[in-house]
Amino acid sequence: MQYLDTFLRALHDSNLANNVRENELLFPWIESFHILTVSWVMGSIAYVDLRILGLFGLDEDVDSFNKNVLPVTWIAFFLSCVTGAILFTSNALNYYNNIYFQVKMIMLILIGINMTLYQFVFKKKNNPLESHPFEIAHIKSTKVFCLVSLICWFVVVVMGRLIGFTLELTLS
Amino acid sequence: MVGKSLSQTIVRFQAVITPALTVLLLTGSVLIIGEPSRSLANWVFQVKMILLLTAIVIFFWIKKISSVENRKDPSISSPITFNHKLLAALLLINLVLIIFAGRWIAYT
Repeated sequence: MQYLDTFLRALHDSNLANNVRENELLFPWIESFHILTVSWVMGSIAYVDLRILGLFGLDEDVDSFNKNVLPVTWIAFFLSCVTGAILFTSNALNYYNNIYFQVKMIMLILIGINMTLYQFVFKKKNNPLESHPFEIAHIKSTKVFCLVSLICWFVVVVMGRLIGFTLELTLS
Repeated sequence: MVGKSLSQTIVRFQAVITPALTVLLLTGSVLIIGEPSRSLANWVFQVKMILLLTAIVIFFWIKKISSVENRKDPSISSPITFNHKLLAALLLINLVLIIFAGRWIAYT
């Protein structure tokens, strides 16, 4: 824990963190880009999840949805990680101790586990069904994976907003 | 969405956009009623509302163009013209600016 504390203090004292904290415009701009990229990620994931849940775009197969959207999702996710990391650096200790930030991070880990299980365990087990792209959406477990993903992303967005109302500001 | 006509794309997304917009409208109204001076007197909020109205106009404009071109058969893809692309780009820029304005209300 002491190493972590030292690391967080080093982040907090870094030039980047000082610049973001002390510049009046930098934090709001980076935060705006973070919100933009998160909504981009959330929108593209909801696009695929709602299709698999049978609530949207039923005239198109799931694989086609995935192919169209996945590259966009990864670009947006990368950008939201970069902007999120810069925001975190600016006030590392307080973010780390914020309960909503912790829940947000746990949700992101759950999303990662959920996605890995779906891509590398569930999809491999159901390999024969891949030749019938319309079929994979009808398996109950697929819908559960998507529901978990949607709920977790919703919680990520809500927690992200709550962080803004609860974070203690450290100006120096 | 590959192989779908513009009007089919609009119809598909309208089913998702309409409930989302309704929730935004309701929650936004509650926020304004809760603290009217914070939002109504804020110039960024006023810009956001103008951008929102512009976005709605552009959306219905695109919808109108696509419905006129595909009146006979909505499944036939009409060629995407420069005007379509221009309106789509304007709408995207508008929506990005709305997100930015929404965040900047808190800082002004």
